[in-house]
Amino acid sequence: MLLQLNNIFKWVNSGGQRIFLLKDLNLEVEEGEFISVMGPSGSGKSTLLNVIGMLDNFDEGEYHFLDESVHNLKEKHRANLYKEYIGFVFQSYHLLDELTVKENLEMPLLYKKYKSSERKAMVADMLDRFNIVGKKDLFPAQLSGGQQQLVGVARALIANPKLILADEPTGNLNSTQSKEIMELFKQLNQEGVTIVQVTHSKKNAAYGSRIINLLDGRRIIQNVT
Amino acid sequence: MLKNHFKSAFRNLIKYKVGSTINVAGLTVALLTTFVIYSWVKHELSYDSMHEDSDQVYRLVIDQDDEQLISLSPAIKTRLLDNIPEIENSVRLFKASVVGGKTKVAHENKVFTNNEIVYTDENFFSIFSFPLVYGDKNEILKKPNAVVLTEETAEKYFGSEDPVGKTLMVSNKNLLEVTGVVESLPSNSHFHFDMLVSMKSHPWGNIDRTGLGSGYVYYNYIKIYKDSSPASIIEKINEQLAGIELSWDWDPMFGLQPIKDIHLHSDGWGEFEANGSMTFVYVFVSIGFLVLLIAAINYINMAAAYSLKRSKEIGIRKTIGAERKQLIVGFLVESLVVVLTAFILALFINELVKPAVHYITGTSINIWNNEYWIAQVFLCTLVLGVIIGFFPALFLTRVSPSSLITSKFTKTGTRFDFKNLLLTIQFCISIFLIIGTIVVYNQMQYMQNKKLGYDKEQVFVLHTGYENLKNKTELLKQTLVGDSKIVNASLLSQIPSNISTGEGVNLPDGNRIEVSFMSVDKDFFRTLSVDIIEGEERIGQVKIDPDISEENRKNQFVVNRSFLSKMEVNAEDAINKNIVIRHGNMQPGPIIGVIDDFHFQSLHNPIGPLVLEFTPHNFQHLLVKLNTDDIKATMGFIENTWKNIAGDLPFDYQFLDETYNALYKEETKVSYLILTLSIISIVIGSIGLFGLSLFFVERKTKEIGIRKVMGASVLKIFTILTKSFTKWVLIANIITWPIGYYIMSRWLENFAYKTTLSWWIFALAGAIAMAIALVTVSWQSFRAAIANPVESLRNE
Repeated sequence: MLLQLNNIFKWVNSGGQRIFLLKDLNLEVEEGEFISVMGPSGSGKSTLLNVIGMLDNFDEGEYHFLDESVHNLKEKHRANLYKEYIGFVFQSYHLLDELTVKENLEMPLLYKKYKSSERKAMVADMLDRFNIVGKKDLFPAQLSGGQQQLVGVARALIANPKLILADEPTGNLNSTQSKEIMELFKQLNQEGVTIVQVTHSKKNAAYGSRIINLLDGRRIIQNVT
Repeated sequence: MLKNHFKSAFRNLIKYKVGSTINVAGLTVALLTTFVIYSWVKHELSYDSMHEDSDQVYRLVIDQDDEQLISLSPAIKTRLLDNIPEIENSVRLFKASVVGGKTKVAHENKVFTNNEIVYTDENFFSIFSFPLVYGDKNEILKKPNAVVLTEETAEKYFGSEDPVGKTLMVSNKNLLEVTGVVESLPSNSHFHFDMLVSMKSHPWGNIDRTGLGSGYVYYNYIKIYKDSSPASIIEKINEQLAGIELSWDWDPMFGLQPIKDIHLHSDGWGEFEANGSMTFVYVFVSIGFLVLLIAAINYINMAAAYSLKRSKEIGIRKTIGAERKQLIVGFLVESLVVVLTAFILALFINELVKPAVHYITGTSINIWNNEYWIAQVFLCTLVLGVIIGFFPALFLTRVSPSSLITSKFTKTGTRFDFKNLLLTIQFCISIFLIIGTIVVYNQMQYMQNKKLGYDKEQVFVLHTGYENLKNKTELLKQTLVGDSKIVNASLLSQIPSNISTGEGVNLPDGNRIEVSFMSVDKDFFRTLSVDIIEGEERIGQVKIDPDISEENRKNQFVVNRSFLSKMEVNAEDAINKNIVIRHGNMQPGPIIGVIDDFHFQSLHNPIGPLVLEFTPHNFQHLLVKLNTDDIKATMGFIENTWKNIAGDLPFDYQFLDETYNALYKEETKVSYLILTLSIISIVIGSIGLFGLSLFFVERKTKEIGIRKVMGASVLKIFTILTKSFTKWVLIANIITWPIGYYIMSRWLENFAYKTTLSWWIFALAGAIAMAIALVTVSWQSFRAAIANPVESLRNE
């Protein structure tokens, strides 16, 4: 078991009323799974992803990640945990504009204090694997959306995370580019990386091994495919 | 990692061009200002530290009624100092120009009158270790008629030839032999000279015969042994004094000034040169800090303005694994890159503006001449970089990475709420400096236009105190008055804008008071339009006969109103009362006239009692009142007359209003400096405000669009936008006014006669600050207000 969410609640207070973002949510993710989270806007998909990614707190419930009880961890430990095991992919790529492709890939390794020689090898490896060696000295603004997302995925993968969290990774891409990225995810999953993605598209959701449906912060059980 | 920090820093600088330019420009100007102030302060603090044992060198002074008497009798050295075992050495300096005006010094056909000639004892160089180019320091001043020149003076007279052994002719009668050459004197010495002449060739002959009570024009320096205490030396001096039989009662309080403290802490009667003042050191250090503070606030405000854009970057970096510490280092590297860029620019600009700085400050500062200088300011710059980088670093790195995914940057916790506070502080500083500038300027104007009780316009002051001219001054005066362009002329002993001679006077009731005095002739009053209250007729009848000897002269006096109030009589009753002035023949003489008070000293001092006497042997100057617009031709006439009567004696003159303005040279200089620094700080502040307005308007684009669609007029929108800034200017005004009032009234306390701090000064300062703020933000606001709302709304 990679992670387990038990009875997670998250709310905000607005105008004297408590609005639930997540309500009594339970989820188990095994290593090697590829899960798609679906639901209408405001249903809590992104919030769920933030909670799993430990970027956001929750108000009630338990969260176990590997052997750690995340709900009991201090902020700093939690940050260390996600930095070590989780990679993020965003809808709008979120590459660092002022860095080249190569430098963007190198950045997570720098923060994790890898040695220079190791960094070079890992970056070269990743550039090779994603077929973007020719683009290594370009800045994000010089790439197409699909290429940028490719770099985004590569950056998420470079430090060998156990889990990739992707928030509508193809939301800004056309269908051809979408397909490429989804195929890439599928391939990565087959290589053993656990993936949780948020998506609006049924087609993309179908790449996953399991679909979680959310509505108003709750899981709803639909006909399981 | 560090390499990457630098890479990111440089690329961010380029990415956020507007902000970087504002930051670098503001910091460059601020650093430049700080450099100049810093090196000026260092220079001021370094005075007289070049002498080998400067810690053991002191100047002897007399403390008298809150005033210090700097120049003392020459007999003090021989009769008091030379017998005290703790004193290793003592030396006297006598500045020839103090009593003799200009002196002609010639070598063959090279004749100059502008030399500062100083007479001194032979051990001068064992106390003051100015390096010698030629000569042995123990020998060069031993012989009578020995003269030591500075390098410039040697060059002036002898070019590249070896000057040693050559001769100089002084006043056509004394032949001096050059025995040595001293290196150019450093500017940070509290005294300077062009020629140093052996005391043995003093123009007055053997000064060691002088009594303790006279000849108060000598500076006395002592060098004490390492472990002796100045206090015990003073005690010994007083003991010595007690053992000497004096013909009058005298109880001076001696004091010793460490030579290094003279420049900044001594402000007594008859200083060798105008000294600096510790107050100004503090003032400029404070202003330097204020200017740096304004630039630092700009940096922090710019960072706040960019926080929206930067928080995305921070969020990304956090999700890919950055620790807060690493992010903070990144921000520090950025601020260091900015301050170092500004540092290098400031160094370059410093070289370019050097002449201007010299013009304003009057000191020439070479930043490269001190190897520590660069290191020190570099270090300070680094510290500044860390401080200003730390604020944005702390606040911006607080952003939670989750905001990235939900893309809700606008509501993240990175807003600096103290941005407005900082803006207000900036305005406070600017308003304060504007108030300061106005008050200083007002006081300067006040002093220029103050009714002084005499008319200083169109009065020409001619120096006549030459031995060879003594019998011809009356002839000179009469010849000049004979011309129609000249209204009046008067011989006197002092320039009346600054009478610095004091003396004790015995009143009829036996009390003694301290007065200022001067010798005049009967034409003095009409020449300067001084009001005579009593005794006009008798004053008009005063005859001056230069042939009557000192002992036989009948004394008679004219006093001012302040004298009467000390004497506690009215003007009528004062006439014919006998008083004794404690010098000359000490004979009692009647008061024959009373004049209205006039300002015979700088406006720092209240008008004190003044006694005018009619003793021709003291005459040093001829005042000439002109009645013409054609100053040039009249001066030509005066110079011709001078040549006919005085021959080749130096024609040494000035205008009375110039001598008056010279009293406020320091204030004038300081007022220019304050004005310059105010403008600098206001410019830096405005640059920052401009940057802020840019971002403020950008953030309000949507609001403006909506308002316009709803029908708001351009004027309405313009008002809304500018109001958010002007509010802070108003608050700054309210904070600064009392502070400015307090500090400026303290400053005005330096003057016995001062301008008032009226309300309009504060209102004007506020209005200027407001106007600057409005002009700065209005361009942006106006552009935003006239923009097509469709554009701005589509952007969202």
